[in-house]
Amino acid sequence: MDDFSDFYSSRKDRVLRVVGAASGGRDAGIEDAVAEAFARAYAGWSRVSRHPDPTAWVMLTALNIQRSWWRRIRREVLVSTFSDPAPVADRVDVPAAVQSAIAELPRRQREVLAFRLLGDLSPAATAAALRISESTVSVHLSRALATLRARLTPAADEPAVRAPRDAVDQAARAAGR
Amino acid sequence: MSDIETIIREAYADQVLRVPETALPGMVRRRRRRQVGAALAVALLVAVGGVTFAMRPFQGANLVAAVPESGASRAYCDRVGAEQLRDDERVAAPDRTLPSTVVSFGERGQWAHLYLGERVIVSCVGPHHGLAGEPDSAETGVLVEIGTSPYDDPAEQWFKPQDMTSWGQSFAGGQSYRLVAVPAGTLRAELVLADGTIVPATLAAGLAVGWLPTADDQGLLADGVAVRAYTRDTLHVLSDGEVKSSPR
Repeated sequence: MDDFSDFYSSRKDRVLRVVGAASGGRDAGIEDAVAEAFARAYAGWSRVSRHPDPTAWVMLTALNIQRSWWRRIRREVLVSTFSDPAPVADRVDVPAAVQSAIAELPRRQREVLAFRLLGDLSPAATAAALRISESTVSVHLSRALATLRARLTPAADEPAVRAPRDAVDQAARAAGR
Repeated sequence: MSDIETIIREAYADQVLRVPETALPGMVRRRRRRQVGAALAVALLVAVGGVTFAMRPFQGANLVAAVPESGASRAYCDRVGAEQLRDDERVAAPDRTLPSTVVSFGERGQWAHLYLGERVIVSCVGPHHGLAGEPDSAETGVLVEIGTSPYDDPAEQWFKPQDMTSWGQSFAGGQSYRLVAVPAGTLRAELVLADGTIVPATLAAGLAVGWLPTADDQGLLADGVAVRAYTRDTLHVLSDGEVKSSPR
């Protein structure tokens, strides 16, 4: 299962980010869905590992799980059921402005953005995963970035939307002064 | 990398999955331990259904695509469906998961089997992007998923015909299906999309099912999608979560 360990450790955060962005990021069940998708991959690793793109498989599985209506209604907080959870850091939220801007994109644009930008899938892999052409991937990504640029990139006299780490760095610098 | 790409990547850079890997095998083991009851239910189901879930495929007028009655895809559905029922802790022991209905329908080259139990649905859809499970060619991938009743009270009726309760599943590849409980005596039903497109639904056992041309973000009927159910004298319309009935 070392194989799976490598897969899990190298993909888990990436899959979380993809599902978070592709789904609009407003559902607290995202982490549960990603965990469940990996659990399914674990249980069927002999099969999943032979898949042409196991990462995309987990991403899509997690997306499907997350989207399921019953999961939204009857949410299970899987994290709380672990008997020996490793120490974890507190959750760091995606900046509201970024999350909101992405959530307002059309669904397909969100998916393409998430798979390409946060999932680091190639245009070909993204096209295969979403069952669209590579040119469509390109168009959706271009439109999504244009919309987000208009929403999130400041005009000359406005502050930019900063990522959390930037904010922390800024605060640290300010405190050090 | 462009400015906006940097902003987005950095915005998500601190998102980490807090679930330790060591929890995954534990999750699987715990689920299996809890599933003794469900396993017994599956065994009963298998005994009644004859080796597989397959009971009595619906032969509807809207059946367009060929639904595999046998072969690798169907065998995969049955096997993985049984495994998921056995492993899924959401299917609690008191939930007698013997499917009462099997609905098969297809359109635009896709097919679906929905095994409907008292409190559970096993949905089996193919072909699915080549990214679902075996048989894993790009043309014949199959996705098997379990849905359970959203109601905590086992006595609560899952599908309420009078409310035209709906249930559905969306897929990343751009398709989704909808399953709607329709009033008794429904002769015909259809889904009406926001742009006026009418999608005929297949009727089976008090339910209407149909594919939507595109996926949407909701497992429930999305805004702008209505359902019309025609009984002999009455037209029932589900729209925006409300049912309105009027004489035909």
